[in-house]
Amino acid sequence: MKWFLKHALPPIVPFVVIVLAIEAIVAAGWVQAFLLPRPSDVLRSLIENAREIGVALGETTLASLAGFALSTFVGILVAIALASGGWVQRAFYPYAVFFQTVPIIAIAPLLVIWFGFNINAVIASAFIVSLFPVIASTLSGLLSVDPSLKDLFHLYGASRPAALFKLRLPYAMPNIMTGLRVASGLSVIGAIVGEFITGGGLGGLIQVSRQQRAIEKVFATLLVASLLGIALFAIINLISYLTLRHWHASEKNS
Amino acid sequence: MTVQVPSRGIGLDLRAVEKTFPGGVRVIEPVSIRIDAGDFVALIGPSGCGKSTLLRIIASLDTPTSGTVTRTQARTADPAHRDIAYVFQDAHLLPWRKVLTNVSLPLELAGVGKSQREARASELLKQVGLADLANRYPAQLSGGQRMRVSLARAMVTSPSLLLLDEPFAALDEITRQQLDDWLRVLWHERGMTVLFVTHSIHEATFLANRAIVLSTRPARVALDHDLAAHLPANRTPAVRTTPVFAEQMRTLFVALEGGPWA
Repeated sequence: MKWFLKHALPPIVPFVVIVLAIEAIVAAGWVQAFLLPRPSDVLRSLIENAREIGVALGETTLASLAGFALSTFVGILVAIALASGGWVQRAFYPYAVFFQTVPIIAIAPLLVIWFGFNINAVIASAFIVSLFPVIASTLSGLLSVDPSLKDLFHLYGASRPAALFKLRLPYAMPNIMTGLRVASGLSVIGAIVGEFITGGGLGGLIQVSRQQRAIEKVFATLLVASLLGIALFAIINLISYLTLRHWHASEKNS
Repeated sequence: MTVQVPSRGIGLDLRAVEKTFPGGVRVIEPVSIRIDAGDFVALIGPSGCGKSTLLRIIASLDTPTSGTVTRTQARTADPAHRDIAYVFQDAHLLPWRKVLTNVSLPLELAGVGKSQREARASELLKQVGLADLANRYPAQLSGGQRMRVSLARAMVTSPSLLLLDEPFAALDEITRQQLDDWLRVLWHERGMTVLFVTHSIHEATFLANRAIVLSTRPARVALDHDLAAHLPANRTPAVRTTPVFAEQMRTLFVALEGGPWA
């Protein structure tokens, strides 16, 4: 109860106040309901369309998770290659930086051409959007390994794989977790952008509802999409806490 | 024979070792130093004088611009044995590993099996009085405890040459003296060669049998002094307060202050 009062209540208060304020503003007719729906209507739409939204949520969750898993795997591998020094780093690092500036949303139509109107295009979209934070943060972690620890491993004749798995990757773990936290939210955004074009999942449902002028359904779907992002973020936070709680300052006392 | 006889130290011979950094800054003038097997040598010098570089060259972590470093070989049948162990300025433990697996790390990298290396690491932890901390993480230890774990890690391969680079510099005076006592006892028991870099004259005088004072950069030998001839072999904490001890400290101090102007 004490914990609830101290930690859970403060963020709930503004939420309730804002929801009630919107309800009152729209009910009073200051803003028209087809621009901003009444929160109570959004809630009713959510309940009425629970089945449809639930199915869409399942699709988007699957695509986001698949895209996120891919970007985690590929991102860490690419970062290891880039951190190896030598010509790989010199040849590809400029492109890794350059690709971050490509407007991903503009690529989504291309993905449909390449993968077709199906979940693969959505997964590709989620993957591309969430890839670079993983590469960038893993790379900075791998490159910041304490030189004395490198000396230590060198002195004991550690092989390159041993140095990678026993020193560099664990050392980069806090950075990797930061990258994954960012990537988890981005993967949901990427999936929904992809679905705007392909038509499935929560993104597709938002498009259809918008065309039907069912704005309360747009909001209901949006709410669910946000909750999905938050849930993924929370899961990564939990994993981060479980792996780093013993040693890293960022996870102490949390 | 199953009983491991404490490995004797190895000798070291530096001949005209010189180091110039890229860009032309000379850190070490050609120095020649011979260190006998089983000796305890302190290397003293002002900060930035190149003493750490010299230690790194001895450990093959750095290469001299010219000159040679030769070591005698240790004779041992122990597959986990490493000739050299190096202790850094801070403990440098792996924070994601428990104390036990931090200590057994060198054995792990040498390919020693899990049960064998953990048995050896816990035996060593028992010897250094840290047995009850085996399952803690480094973040849960004090600075002095962390340094002891770092020393235990260095000792786990039964090195013949222990190199220490200002290992206790960041610790408080009381912890530092405790670790000094402990290191001297460890050396007595194991008989390895110890080369200890410090900028503390007090510490050097208490610990070492021989003190080599280096000048300011570029480093050269300003004084090579036999402490064992003046101080008792058994350095009890009380030795620190004797007049002879103060006299020896003064000798080193004069050499250090004399530096390039002497």
